[in-house]
This record gives sequence, structure tokens and C-alpha cells, in this order.
Amino acid sequence: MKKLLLSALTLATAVTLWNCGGGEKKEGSSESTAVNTADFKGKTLNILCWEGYADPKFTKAFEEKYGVTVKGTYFGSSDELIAKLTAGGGDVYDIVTPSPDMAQALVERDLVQPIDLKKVAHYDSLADKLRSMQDVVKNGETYGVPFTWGPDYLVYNADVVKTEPKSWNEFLKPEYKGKIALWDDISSLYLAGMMLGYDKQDKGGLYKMNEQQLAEAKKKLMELKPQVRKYWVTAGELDNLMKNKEVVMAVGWPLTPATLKKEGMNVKGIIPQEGATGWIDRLMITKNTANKDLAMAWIDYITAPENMAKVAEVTNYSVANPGATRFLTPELQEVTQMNNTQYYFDKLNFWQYVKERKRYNEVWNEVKGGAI
Amino acid sequence: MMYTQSVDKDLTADAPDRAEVSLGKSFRRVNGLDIAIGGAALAVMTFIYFPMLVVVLYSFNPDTVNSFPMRGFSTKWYGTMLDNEPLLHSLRISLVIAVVATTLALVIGVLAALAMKKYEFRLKRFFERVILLPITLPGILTGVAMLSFFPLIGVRISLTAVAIGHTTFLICIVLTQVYARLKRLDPFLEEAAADLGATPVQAFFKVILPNIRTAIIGAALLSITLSLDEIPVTFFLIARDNTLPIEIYTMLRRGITPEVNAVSTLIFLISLLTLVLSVRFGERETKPI
Amino acid sequence: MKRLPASFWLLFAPLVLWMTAFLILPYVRVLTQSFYTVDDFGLLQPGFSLDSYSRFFSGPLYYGTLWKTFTLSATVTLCCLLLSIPLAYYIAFKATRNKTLLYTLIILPLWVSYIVRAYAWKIILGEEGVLNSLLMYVGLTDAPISVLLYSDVSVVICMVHIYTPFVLMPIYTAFEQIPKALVEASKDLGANRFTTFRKVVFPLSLPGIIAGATFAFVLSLGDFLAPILLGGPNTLFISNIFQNMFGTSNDKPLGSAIGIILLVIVLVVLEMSARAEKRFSSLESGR
Repeated sequence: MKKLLLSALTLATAVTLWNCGGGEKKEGSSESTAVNTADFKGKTLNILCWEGYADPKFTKAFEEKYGVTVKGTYFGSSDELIAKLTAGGGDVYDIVTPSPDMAQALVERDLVQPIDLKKVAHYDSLADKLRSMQDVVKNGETYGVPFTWGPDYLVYNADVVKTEPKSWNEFLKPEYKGKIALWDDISSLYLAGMMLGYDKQDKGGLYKMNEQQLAEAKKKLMELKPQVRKYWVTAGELDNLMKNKEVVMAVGWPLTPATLKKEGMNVKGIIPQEGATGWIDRLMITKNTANKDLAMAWIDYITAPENMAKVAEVTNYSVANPGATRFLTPELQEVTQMNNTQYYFDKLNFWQYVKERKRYNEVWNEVKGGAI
Repeated sequence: MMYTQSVDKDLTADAPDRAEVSLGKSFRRVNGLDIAIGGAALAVMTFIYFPMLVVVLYSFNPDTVNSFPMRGFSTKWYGTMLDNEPLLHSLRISLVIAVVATTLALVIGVLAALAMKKYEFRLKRFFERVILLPITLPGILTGVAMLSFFPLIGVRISLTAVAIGHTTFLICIVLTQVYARLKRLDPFLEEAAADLGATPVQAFFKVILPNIRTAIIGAALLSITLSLDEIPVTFFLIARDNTLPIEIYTMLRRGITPEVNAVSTLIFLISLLTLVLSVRFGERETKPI
Repeated sequence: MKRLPASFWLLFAPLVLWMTAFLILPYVRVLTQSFYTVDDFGLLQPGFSLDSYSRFFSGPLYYGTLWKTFTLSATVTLCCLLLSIPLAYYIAFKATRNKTLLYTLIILPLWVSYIVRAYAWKIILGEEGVLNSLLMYVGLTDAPISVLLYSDVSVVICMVHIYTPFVLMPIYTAFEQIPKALVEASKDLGANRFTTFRKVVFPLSLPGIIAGATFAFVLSLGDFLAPILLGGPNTLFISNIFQNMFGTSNDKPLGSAIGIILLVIVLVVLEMSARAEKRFSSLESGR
């Protein structure tokens, strides 16, 4: 009988809370042919995106303007995105923000729909370099609008690593044994390919390595392995690894030095002489969305310079609209490299779709399971 | 198979001359083996509760670095937590899911347990074992299986799908517990009720239900506990609104915030308090039937 | 066997329907999917191909990882048993007044989210964490022991911590069911405590111990979070590969094949534990 009270209390609490949580479900389903923004009222725009890409700091104004709700669902890895989207999540979300490793696959698999660029007022003012990438273009139609971008560069704790690392090979120095972190992603294979110079002839070489090159890349990663403390999964995890001094050098995004600087750490990022790969996240509209017009309105809204600036403030990533720069503080311009975009565009080797992705994944898993 | 027995049998009377080494109790004769067992028990308890202590302690961590000792003391994370609307929302969602799934599981599980008790059928032995599968299959496997199949029958990834997923494995907890209790019931109870003119439904509510009540409450409690912290199945079926564990996972992806420790501390302390209260008052309560 | 009455189906049909729709058919889907193939963009191509299964057994990546997962799960199981048996024994036979409280205290940690408990271990085991700081303060080590975190060790510790309550519950239940008179009788016959445990308590509680061990083994076999959160560069569980197949690898057939192989293993483990339970319970009634 002693559990009676316990259970009664639990149930009572649960039922009370149920009443609080239940009643407020909204669903937007009716489709309109002519765009009438008054129709948006009461609808919900669902965005499946990377962390922070649907932050209240920039969704609020949009919500108020149209009387809608913007609901962001964050995914932690491309694995999650694909698992959700390919299992019929196509009509659960209206907008997705894939990275270029997956963007083309979404287009080819018919999970997203073409975007009428004429309806995106600021499209032409987005950075040329980002707009000119062909991976989301099919039959002359464009399926993705550039949103944010950045490098996968070398992040290091400048208090420990006194001299600026010039090359990725610094990872192999004996004093950093067990003090390195790589990203738990096939992009580590691109990195190995870069260290081996497979991008010298053709920048795309990293994304179409042959079996022999993959074997060499794997060897390189196995050589790096004793140096590695952890293959990080999320940016937050990398921040923690650096903060708790578990690692001193890593492959990371500008987000990490930006976050850690705020916490008083001397962490810097740099593109080593071999170069670095770069990513660009895009806004895409799902094939089966019921809120296409609202989704278009969002893309139009968020690509405006002042809103892109807010995105940069929240995420610390570089944004696609160079016009955002003037809304940013000098510090933030520095952090997001918005004051120096040309340098990055020249140096970075932007990801491309990997046709042999399955094989790349297999090799990467072999690296992780390597001790078997 | 598990969790079925009531734990409140009193055993003090069974061995008056046995040396007792229990926490906070005086002992007469000290036996080496008793000390070893007591020590081992204490060590295991420490192992189980040490991380809990760390969670509580670090909810007062002023910064987000996990170094030891902490660099100060702060209650600010409790304030941040209360302002974190998504976190509170996810807590409500988790409770809704737990209650809905547990209720469904109770209905389906108790009915099925009655059927299995009352009737003999060919596949009964088979069923007794199959029914354990949902809790013993790896959650990630069940999650992916449901994710692959649910859309085909029109169940989109959503909180509905999550509730269905939870119900599926909670049913077997209810079923095994209630069935085990029913098997120990006097088989003539129902007959006697029928002889006295009760309909089967009356017999259930007047005779059977009071006797299996504790099993049902125990099952419900365990079901709610398990549902509240279910991750693998939820992870795949969740669409827009997060449950508490998934929301915590999302928050931690952006970096450790002691907020997460704060909310855990609160939940932990509330359940601890409820437990202590229920044990205290429970002792005075008389046993029904 | 006579026809079952309508009232039976009224009671039993909800269960059958529910389990068919929401458990059996999903698994059937996984089974059929494991025979499919995928095209270059990861689109499923229906058909009947054993390709995925042959790939699973073609190189050490998959079966080797499975084996490693196996050994780690077995380690977790063993540790859980070593922790649970003394504590369950203490609560069942030694604790008197606080029995309920103690038992419920074991289940209470389940109210703190799995993920939070896993992060607590990060705080404890890190290079500047609680344990290393203490060890260095006491002077047991000069430098932090880095193998404690981001290694198989931390994954095992975390899983043991999380699954011990699940192991303890059935073992405790089994201890509780042992008639106290039997234990007394054994002592009256001159058996010492150890002999009593070995000859009476242990065999009688074996079904509970087997049930607990099965739980720990199966749960750790399917755990994908602890390896992600606490694992090191060498930690790879089969469940991580499994998740990857349904994610960016976009190889649902291979993922499904891994799933089916896991399913078969779990079924074999359950069958074995059911048989073991049966054997020991028949032994005990024969005595």
C-alpha cells in the first residue's frame, strides 16, 4: 500500500499538466493558389534545421508580421535529417536546411521542390560564389537558397599551442597525443584526402576518391587515431572538450572559437596551408509541404540583410547575404568572417555530393572500429 | 517475470537471534559475512548515488566548465530553467505522453491478462513469452522498425506515433505484472461471485479489481517512469515537439548548461520527497481487503 | 480444443490487434526491407536480394563490431550482476525496517534522465573531473588518468550504472519469494551461511538472476547513446552502425539486415535464458 500515495500524486500532477499542455495544437493544411498573406494567419511553419536556425530572435518579427507560428525542430546530425525525411516526414516539415553533403541527394530523391527565385527579393544580392554552385540545380531549376556557410578549419587553444599551427600535420606531433578531436563524419575523409594532396589537380578530388585513395586516406586516419581523444558529434560537444581541456586542437567551425572567446578562453581558428573544406547550408522546401507560400515568405524574409545579420548573431556562422555585414558589430564581423569573405571563398574547398557516400561511410566506420 | 511482488512484507519476526547489520540499526553480534554484505551493499548504493549527487551539486555550478572543485556557487540556473519555455513545454509533453501511453497500456494489458487467466488456448505458452519481446528488443531496433512502417499505415512521425510506440512496450509491463498477480488469485473468487448473482462485469469490479489493485498501481507507476525517460523509440518517432529527454539532448548538443542539472535535480528531489512521504504515511495506512 | 467464446476475443483482441499493427508488422517491414537494394541516391529498390547479408559477413567491419559489442555487453552484464546480487541480498534478507525505502531508492535514479546521468559521468571521469582531481589530491596519481573518459571503460561504467536497477529488480523479487522457513531450515540442519546461499538461496533465485542478466545484456546490446556520449575513438557499437545505415549512409537494406541479425540474436538469448530458467525451476521442484 505504500506506493499508493506516490502513484496518486504522480497521476494527479500528470493529469493537471496534461490539461495545460493539450489544447493548443494548430495545423495548417488548406492550400491556396493565389498568394494572399492574409491566408497565413494562424498557420504554423515547421522548419527542420540545424541548431539555432529557427531562433526566436529572428522568428518573432516574422510571426508577428503574418500572425503565424514558426516552429523549429533541431537535428543533431545529417543521419537524423535523412532518417526523418525518408520515412515520410516530408509533409511534417515545410523547410529543411541540409548541408551540401546531403542537399543533392534530397533533390535527386525528389524530397524537395524547385524554388521560384523571382519570388525571393534578395536572391540576387546573395554571394555569387554560393549561388553559382550547381549541386542543387536540376533541369535548370534551383532547389536551394544559400543560408549560412563556413569552414571546417583548424581550431586550437592558443594558450597551449603557442605557435600558430601552419599545417594539418601538427595533429601528428607527439606532444598532442590524445589531445586532438576530429569530427565524427565522413568529412574527416576529405581532411585526410587533403593532407594527402588529392585536391591538388582537381578540387573535387576529395569527393570522388577511388579505392586506392580511400585506402590511403584510411591509413592516414589510422595514423592520426592515437592522437585523437574523441570524434566529436556536435559543436556543443567540441566546445565542452576544449573547455574542459580534454583537447587542444581540433577540426571545428568558427562557432567554437566564438563561443569559447566569450567564456574567456584563448581559442583561435585558422586555415592551414593545405587548405580546408567548407560547407554551405541551404533553405529547401519539402516536396509535400502544405504551406508552400508561407515557406516562400520565410525564405524571402530571412534572406534580407537585416535578418541575415540576426542569424549571424545567434549562430556565429557566416551568412549568405554580404549585405548583412553592415548590421554587425566589428567583433561579430571578425567572428563570422563577414569582413573577409573573399579570402575564405578563395581558400575553401566547398563540399560536393559524394556519389560513393555509402563506401565513404563504410571506410569511416572502419576507421572508428579500427582496433578490432 | 519482474517487479511483480509487493515489497512490503515484514520480515522482522523471522529470526530473532540473527545478527543484524542494517543501516542505522544497533546490532548485537557482529558477523564477518554480515559486515561484508553490508559493506558491499553500501558500496553499490554509493556507486548508484554518486552521479546523482554530482548532478545536484553541479546544478549550482556558476559557470559551464565541469572542473572540480567548482569555482563557486550559484542558483541562477534554476531561474534560467524556469524561463526556458521549450524545456517546460517538453516536460508537459513528456507527462502527457506518459499518462496517455500508460492509460492505453493499462486498458489493453489488463483486458488481455484477464483473458489469459480465464481461458485456456493453444498458443497460451507461446503468448506468455512473446509478450515480453517489446521490452527486451533493443529500443533502437523497435524505433527504426516503427519509423519504417508507421508512415505506410498513415501514422506520421508525431507525438501520436511516440505515444503508440511507448504504449507498445508498456503493455507488456502491465500484462506481465497483472497476469502474475491474477495467477496467484483464488480461482474460485469469480465463481463465488457468479454464484451470488454477479455479472462478469460486476464480478470484475467488485471482486477481481480490488485484489489486483496494487499490481495495477505498481505497473502504472513503473510505466510512467519508463515512459518519461524513453529515448531510443522516441528519438526516431518524434517530429516537432520534443519530449523532455530529447529536449535535454537537444540542449546539450549546444554545450553543457547546468540548467539541465537543475531540472533533473528538481525532478529527482520531488520524486524523492514523494517517496519518503508515501513510505511514512503508507505505514499507517491499513491494507484494503 | 473447444472454440473460444466471444468474451475471450473481446478481452484479447485489443492486444492482438495492437501488437500486430504496431510491433509485428513494423518488424516484418524491416525483414522485407533487408532483401531490397538501393540505387545510387539511396532509393529503395524492392526485390529479393541476399546482398546485404553477404555484405554483413564479408568483412570484419560488421561482424567484428558485433562481436565487440557482444563482449562489452557481456562485461556490462557481469558487472551489473556483481553489483546487484549483494545489494538485493542485503535488502531482501538483512534490511528490516527500511526495506521498502531501500528498494524504491534503487528505482528512483530512473527518474533522472538517462542523458543527464551519462553527462554526470563526464563530470566525474574527465581529466579535470571529480575522480581525477581527488586521485591527484590524495596523491595516488601525478597525472590525470585519461583512459577513464572517452574510452570503452567510461561506456561500460555508464551502462552498468544505468542498467543495474533493471537487474536488481528481478533478483530482489526472486530473493523475496524464497520462503524464509527454507533458509531457516537449512541453518537448522547445520549449513553455514555460505552453504545456505550456495545450496538454497542461489538456485532458488536463479530465474531472477537470469532474467536480470538478460535485461542487462539486451539493453546494452541496443544502446547507441552511451557510445556516442562517452565512447572514445575506438568505441563503435553495432547500434551506431545501424543508426548510420538509416541515416547518411542511406543503406536501409543493410541496416535492416543488421537489425534482423540483432533480432535473431536477442531471440536466441531470450530462448536460452527461458530454457535455463525452466531447467533450474524444475531442479528446484525436484529437490
